[in-house]
Amino acid sequence: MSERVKITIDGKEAWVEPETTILEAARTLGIDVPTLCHNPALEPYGACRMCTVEIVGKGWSQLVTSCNYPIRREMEVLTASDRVVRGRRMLVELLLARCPDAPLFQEMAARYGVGRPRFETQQADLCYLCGLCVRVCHERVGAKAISFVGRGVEREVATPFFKISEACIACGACEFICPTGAIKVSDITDKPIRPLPLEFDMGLRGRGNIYIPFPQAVPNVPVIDRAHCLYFQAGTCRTCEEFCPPHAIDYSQEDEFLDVDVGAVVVATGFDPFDARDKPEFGYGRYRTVISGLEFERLASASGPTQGKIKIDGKVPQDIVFVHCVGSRDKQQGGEYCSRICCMYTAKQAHLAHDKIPGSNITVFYMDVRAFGKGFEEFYDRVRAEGITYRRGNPSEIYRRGDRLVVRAEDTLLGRTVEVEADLVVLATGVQPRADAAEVASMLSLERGEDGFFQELHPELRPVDTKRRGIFLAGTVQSPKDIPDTVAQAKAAAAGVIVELSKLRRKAE
Amino acid sequence: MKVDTQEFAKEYTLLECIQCGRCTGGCPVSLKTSLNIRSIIYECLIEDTVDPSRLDVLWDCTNCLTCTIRCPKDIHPADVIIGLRGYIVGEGRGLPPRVRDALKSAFTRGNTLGYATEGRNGWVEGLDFEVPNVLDAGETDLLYYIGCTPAYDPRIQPVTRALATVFRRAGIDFATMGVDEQCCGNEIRRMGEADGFQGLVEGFHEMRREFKAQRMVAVSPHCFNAFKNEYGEMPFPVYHYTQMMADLLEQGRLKLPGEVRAKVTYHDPCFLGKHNGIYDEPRYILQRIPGVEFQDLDRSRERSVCCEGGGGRMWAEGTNIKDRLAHQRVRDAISMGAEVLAVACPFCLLTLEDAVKTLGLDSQLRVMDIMELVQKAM
Amino acid sequence: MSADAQTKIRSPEDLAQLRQELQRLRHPERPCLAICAGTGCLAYGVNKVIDAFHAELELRGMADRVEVLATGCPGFCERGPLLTVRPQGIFYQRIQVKDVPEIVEETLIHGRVIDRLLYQDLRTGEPVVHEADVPFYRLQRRDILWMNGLLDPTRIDDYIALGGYSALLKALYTMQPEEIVEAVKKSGLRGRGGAGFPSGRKWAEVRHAHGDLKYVICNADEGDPGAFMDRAVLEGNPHSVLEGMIIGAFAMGSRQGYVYVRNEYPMAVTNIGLAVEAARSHGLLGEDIAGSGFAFDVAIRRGGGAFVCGESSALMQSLEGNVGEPRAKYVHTSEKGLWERPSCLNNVETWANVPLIVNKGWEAFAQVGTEGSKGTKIFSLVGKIQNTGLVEVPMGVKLREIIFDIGGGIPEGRPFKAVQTGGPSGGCIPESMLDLTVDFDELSKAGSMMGSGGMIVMDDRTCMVDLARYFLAFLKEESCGKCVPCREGIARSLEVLTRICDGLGQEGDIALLQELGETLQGFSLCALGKSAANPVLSTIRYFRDEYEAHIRDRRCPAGVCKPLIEYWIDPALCTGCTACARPCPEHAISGDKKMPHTIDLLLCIKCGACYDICKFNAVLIRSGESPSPLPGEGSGEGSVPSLAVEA
Repeated sequence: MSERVKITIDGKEAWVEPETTILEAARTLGIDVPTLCHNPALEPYGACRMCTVEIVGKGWSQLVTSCNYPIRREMEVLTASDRVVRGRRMLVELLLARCPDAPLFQEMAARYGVGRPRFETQQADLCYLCGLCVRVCHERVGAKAISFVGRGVEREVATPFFKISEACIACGACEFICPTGAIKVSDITDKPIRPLPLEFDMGLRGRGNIYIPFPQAVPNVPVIDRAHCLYFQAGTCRTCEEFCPPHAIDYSQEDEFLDVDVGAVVVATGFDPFDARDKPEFGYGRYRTVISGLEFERLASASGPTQGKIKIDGKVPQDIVFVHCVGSRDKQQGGEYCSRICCMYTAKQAHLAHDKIPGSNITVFYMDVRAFGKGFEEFYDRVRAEGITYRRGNPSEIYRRGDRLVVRAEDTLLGRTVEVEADLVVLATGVQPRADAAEVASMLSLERGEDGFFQELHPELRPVDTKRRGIFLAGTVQSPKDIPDTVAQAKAAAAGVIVELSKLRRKAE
Repeated sequence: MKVDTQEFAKEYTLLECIQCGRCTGGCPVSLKTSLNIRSIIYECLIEDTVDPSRLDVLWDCTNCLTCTIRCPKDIHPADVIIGLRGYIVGEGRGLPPRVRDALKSAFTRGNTLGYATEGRNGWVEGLDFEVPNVLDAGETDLLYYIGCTPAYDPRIQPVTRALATVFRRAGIDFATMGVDEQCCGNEIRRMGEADGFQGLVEGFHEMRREFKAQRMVAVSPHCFNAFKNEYGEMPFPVYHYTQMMADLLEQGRLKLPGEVRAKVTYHDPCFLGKHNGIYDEPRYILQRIPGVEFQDLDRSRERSVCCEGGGGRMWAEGTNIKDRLAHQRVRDAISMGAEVLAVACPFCLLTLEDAVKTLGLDSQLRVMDIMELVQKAM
Repeated sequence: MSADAQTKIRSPEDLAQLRQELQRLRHPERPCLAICAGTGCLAYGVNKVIDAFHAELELRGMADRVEVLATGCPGFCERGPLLTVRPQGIFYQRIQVKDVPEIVEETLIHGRVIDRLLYQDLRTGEPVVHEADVPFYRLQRRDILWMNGLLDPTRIDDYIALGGYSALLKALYTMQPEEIVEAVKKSGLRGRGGAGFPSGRKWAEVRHAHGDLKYVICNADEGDPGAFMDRAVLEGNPHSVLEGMIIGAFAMGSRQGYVYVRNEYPMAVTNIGLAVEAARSHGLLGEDIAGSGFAFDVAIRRGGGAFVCGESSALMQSLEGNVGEPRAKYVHTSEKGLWERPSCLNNVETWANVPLIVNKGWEAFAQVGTEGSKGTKIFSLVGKIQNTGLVEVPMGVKLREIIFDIGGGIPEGRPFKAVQTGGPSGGCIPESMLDLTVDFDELSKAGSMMGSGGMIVMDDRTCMVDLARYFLAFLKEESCGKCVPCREGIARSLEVLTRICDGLGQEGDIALLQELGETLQGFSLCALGKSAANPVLSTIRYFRDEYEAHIRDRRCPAGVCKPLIEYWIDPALCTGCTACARPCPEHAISGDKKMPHTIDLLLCIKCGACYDICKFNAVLIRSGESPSPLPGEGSGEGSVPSLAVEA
């Protein structure tokens, strides 16, 4: 444990381990030093010079780059002295002249008060040769597919002889790390890019190889996707392990198989949403602005891919149409049953959309409105009172007209076919038994109904029991239902378990 | 005319209808006519009787089957229309005159077009080989069923010939029924003449007992549909020519050394697509033709828009002759930059080509059968 | 014992013995024709001269009595091909093949001097017979270069005969490594490559750095335009460099050394390669050097053609096989250098000084030079100067002395304008500061730097703005492109300067150049960028009026910037001889015989052919609105050049 060194940055003191860089020390003090080529997962490169700071002493001063200057003795540093700021502004001006279309530099120019560059842009570029892509490819990914080629202003990032690369593994790290969007994986390789969709966000955004599956995950810790993790695939990277402060990452962990003797089992394996691609007439999967109910949930969620803003491809829709009963009450696709939750969740979503997009035009096409629960009818009234239009008729088709969508339906109360234009269509996709229901049922020797949901012992009197003693059902595994009903069933199942276990214990005594 | 709705509803299982409106909502003519099949079904459920003779809109239906494939309760609204038409045809009053003529011609001359029976083989002119007659030969591998329009209509005859040429090139042993071939009856049935249709069915089965065949192919999806789905037990499988063409290309038995440099799009015929689920084979063929730049229309496959050629519409003008669906279809094709609109059905070919001519867009778009494109590339 | 055989030296006695032998063989009275066969003289065709001598001597049966010694470059490149006839020391310059028989006949056989081949003193016109008396040589102190004219660089025996490798044996056998480091420290030797870092301090850092494996590296990637000191030393006396490296390796504890030489110096590559081979076979390199037990070997590596690889960390990247780009040197390369190991990188001339320090002792070495800069420095004196060549002087000599006394002043009696020291990293020094001495710190204070020793002299016909532009164009090509200020800043500075030279300069351009310069100096990653602004800033500092003339008056006072000048024939001086009209590639000159000619400015492409050919100095260059010609020209002014910048 070597002696700590004192450093004073902009008047604030800190004691640091020797070899700590000035930038690291500044960050611990909460001082923001701008960087353009720095990334904590990579070796500092010192190319952009934005992180330059001034070390001051008695009668002398020295400009150094803080990202790679190791602190070895006591020193005083200014991160925004006049000299530093002057230089930074010139750097921004030079970069803006090179890359006028990069929002990054436009923002920096605004931040540092840099006006129109005094230099002409000969050929606008997005790349400013920060080297982040090259460095991540060499240091972390290990593919070494790209490097710098050429000298001076001719310098560029390229593959050997500018050929399509065989070494590139299409991991996307270069594209991800590039601050201006200058490099694309498709420029480097022909190999198909494998997007990693965040499953909980219905694929509306991507995720990394290490990620927390959803905000309420229990335990709320990240998991590693072995199939794509670079360490497991190629033995490289290990960035997560390096950066985890309590060193919690252990690549040697394996699945554990536990044998547990239990007296009762509660089957609460849930449901799968209906895949609206099975109803091709709605164009789901073809049109980006036709989305499912769950996708809307994620858009509306503050922890979702758009932080709660309803937008598709950056655009906020003004005319929104909701379609009931997609994959429900249908003898052809999905299930013949009613999914129970859609009428109310659609009303809720219509209400949210109305709230989040003032002035929006919202229409709900329904066949029936099943507002059966406590407060449900009142909520339905409220939603219509807000100006959301309910039209009776189940749409038959959705197609494109220009850059808008057209929902074709018969308004059965009007008695004629209408074409309603929309910027966004939300399909109230229904509930289906899970894809592995047959497997689970056979594992537990349980019966399922014709509709595929697990069979309760008696539809009225024994809603959570099954034919097998000690095995209970709770939630949508048994039939479509919403949260209050699920909770009620769960409590009932728990009560069933308690009764069963106490019986068993009494027997044992 | 009064039809007992209780019986009718039971016969067509209308009681389960929840009036969702998907049938009318999907009906291609519902925007341009007052044909509202849901409302008709509702009447059948609520009223004691209905009078089909008051519904001239009944003749607007093209039998595209969109209503039926959309219905969540497995009801067949298209059959309801045919059923109601049946009453009118039974009465003999109130049917459009050309429909009556077509029906008559089918039974007296074996074709719906009013041509002489003897001329049914006229299409072979121009072929450099003999087309065998299965009734003479007694057996064949492939029964080539021509159909009325492909046999007689000069615009369609090249397609018929092209197909025969390909069979020959591929070394397939095929034969037709010559002038003894009768109308398949698909449109007959659509126009409501159920008994007449049954007669045609029985007539065919009698004839086919006179020869042996391994399989059957039809030029028109309408004929294909009838034989495949409505002729009861068939001794051999029935195919549409696109299925066979796709197979021949895949197996390498048909080679396309030539090129067709064009931007091509494809219009799904209702009787091939929505009726029988054949969407991929025609596209496969088109994309195998060298030089073709293929792109789908927005409304394609299950969302294709009917050309208004089926369901007897070749003879029934309908209540709105101004707004033709074929015109919109042609405009859609042109607006996406297509130079050729490919089809696989003679009715589609005729109606769409007619639309091109009426709109004066001959220089911008050509309507061609897939076989015509294949032949160009041969 | 035969020369150049596989004689392994295993002790100081062995070396002493070998030296004696060799000296005996080299009879001091034996006639020797020492001909410079350095790259410069080779370009003059000296190979043919040497062949001619061999042939002539053969013809006359004198081949076994007279030695023809092809030496390295002695430095008087202006007068090459050079010949010194020994032992008399008769100095002939600008010799050609046709002179060979005469030289053999007259000088070798009859001992007579050929006047026309002698050097004539520029001031007096008197011929100088002996090499030692030639002012160019006499006024120098050639501690490093003295051997260049005395030995064949491909023969180790010549070097040993002249005392070579005695410093090495002395170091290995009588000194401790720590002692050697101290000696270099106390000698005050500072790096000759440009930065002037105290070499002893670097050596101490490497010696005390952690690690078993350490490297010594010789930087022979001399890239400054107009600099060829290192070339002359490495070509002409490679063993002196090698000896320095071996001593250094012993002192610092290194087992492996590298010589990184630019590929554009093929002779240096060859000669250092031969030197390494020869040293190995004499047991002076490899295992158990000179029987001392010390092991060290050297590998030669060639550069790929990048000026930036002369920067120490970029050089090391290149040696490692990576892209030649510098890195931050907050952690010195002496601590973490080549392959992250302690590395001592020194310039060719620096290494060549080391045997001197060991042999003379540090006190004697420190007697030469100034307080802050010890020893001698070799300068390549080029440009508008009478005596182009290599000049070695002790630190502390005045610039005026170098340029006027040794260099012989400006040709054609034109006025001195400025001298650029330090190449593209240096700045210019005007006439008013010619009394500055060559000293690291003095030159830096004046806004220039010593650099590696390039010295470019300029007269009133050099445009200072164009000069700055020239250097920036060079640096723009050579910038590695890693850091933003250098890559973008130099390119943009060049844009501004080009604009100014094209007559499109705007108010505010000078301030913009200064702003860019400040950013370059403070924010660049390596010395290339940091010093890139020097040419611009120093020319602005001392010749601001020239910038302003370009910008405000669209005038180039020196008459260089083509878009701003025009050629004009003074009718008062023109005799109508038509000599100018013929060479004009655009047929722009018209006029009848014996009548004053005129130049059609619309056709003139300013090639200067007419200007060069006119015997009457009637073709003048004018710039700016004023119709009067440039100083020193035109009728009525005679031949006395005027320095006045015209109004």
